[in-house]
Amino acid sequence: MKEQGMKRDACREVEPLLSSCAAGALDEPSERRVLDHLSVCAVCRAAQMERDPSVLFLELRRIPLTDGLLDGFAAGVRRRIESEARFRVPLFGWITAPGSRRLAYVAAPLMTLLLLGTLVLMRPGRPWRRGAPAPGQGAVGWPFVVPQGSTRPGNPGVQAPGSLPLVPLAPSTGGPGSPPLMEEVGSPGARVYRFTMEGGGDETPIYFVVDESIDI
Amino acid sequence: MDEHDLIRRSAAGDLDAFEALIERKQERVFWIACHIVGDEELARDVAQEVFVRLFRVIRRFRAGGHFDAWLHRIATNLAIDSLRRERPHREAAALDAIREPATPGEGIPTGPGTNPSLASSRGEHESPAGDALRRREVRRIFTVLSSLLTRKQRLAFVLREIEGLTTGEVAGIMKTRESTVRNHILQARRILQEEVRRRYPEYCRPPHPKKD
Repeated sequence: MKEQGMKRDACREVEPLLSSCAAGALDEPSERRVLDHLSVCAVCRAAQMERDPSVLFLELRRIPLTDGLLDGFAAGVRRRIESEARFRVPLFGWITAPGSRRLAYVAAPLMTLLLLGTLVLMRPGRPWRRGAPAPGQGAVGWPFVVPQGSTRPGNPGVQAPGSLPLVPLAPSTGGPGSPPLMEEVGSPGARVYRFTMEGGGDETPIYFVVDESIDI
Repeated sequence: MDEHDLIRRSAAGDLDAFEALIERKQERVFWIACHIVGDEELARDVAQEVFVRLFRVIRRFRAGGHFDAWLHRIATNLAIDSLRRERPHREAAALDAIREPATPGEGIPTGPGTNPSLASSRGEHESPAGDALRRREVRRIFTVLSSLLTRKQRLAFVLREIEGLTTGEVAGIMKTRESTVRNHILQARRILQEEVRRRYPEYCRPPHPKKD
């Protein structure tokens, strides 16, 4: 009887708030108080159903579990964790390790710098090795040999401009695999280089014309 | 044992402690999953996945954080993922349920003048079996009607109205503002009100019919 009386007190307390609750006009604590009461009081819930039928679902708050539904649930989860730990080979498990994450913060910028540096050093026209002299403008770089007496800047024994005689090739000093022979051929408007390959029986000359007046 | 101790020991790989932690949290996690996916068996699978996932990441939990909110977030995310995978089957089932609102001989009487929600309070269904039937019926109705809600509306409604979390907690789980949560709940309520009135009018009749 006492419990029933207390319940009625709670109902009386909540009753004036029901219509405001249905309209969504209550502040959070008051609304919470009303909903908590409606979830346990079927009489008030039934009265409120006419105004707000969605309170029907408050009954789902205290729904009891189906018998045996979660029996052995925790043990089952444990068995699954144990079996996964036994059979799972952490191939990339080191990636998720906390230490690996810190390592990644350092390694990622370093790898980026390394990649960029490699690209800069290996770009076309760059000397392929450290210490090699930078070629002058229009010069012929490795693997060709610029003969002595060439008019190219930086070469010793520069002759008078305008008189570029055919320079005989110096004999190749290297053995097999040495750079191909090359000679510079005089020309009024452009420089012409003639190449011949040593050995192999093919002595067809290859001409390489350099005309700085042509802007590609 | 204190919950913080259980969490700390679980993070250190103690499976006994973790099992005890599961025992404490399993029911809440199960019901969150169940109200989102609408199926007990599927919810059980989701709950199991939640705890397996929890064990993998529990080391990342910072002491002083809100463990329940963190756990509920994992549960809701996995339940939503599961719902997404199962959606085509579930929508088909929901349509079937709409076509056949009540199975004869099962559930509560819904004849004229009967308010099923009130019936139990008046002693007409005081037996545990009657209560179970009524609850099963209400859950079935919720499963059908909640498929009409958007994912966020459903999530907000389940967490706040059914699970009884505060708006702040729900906002934390959904990673959104409280005002947005309130908006989702209002919209969800409006849709559910209309649909219950339209499809299940017997639930909306006044408890004390007026006599002429």
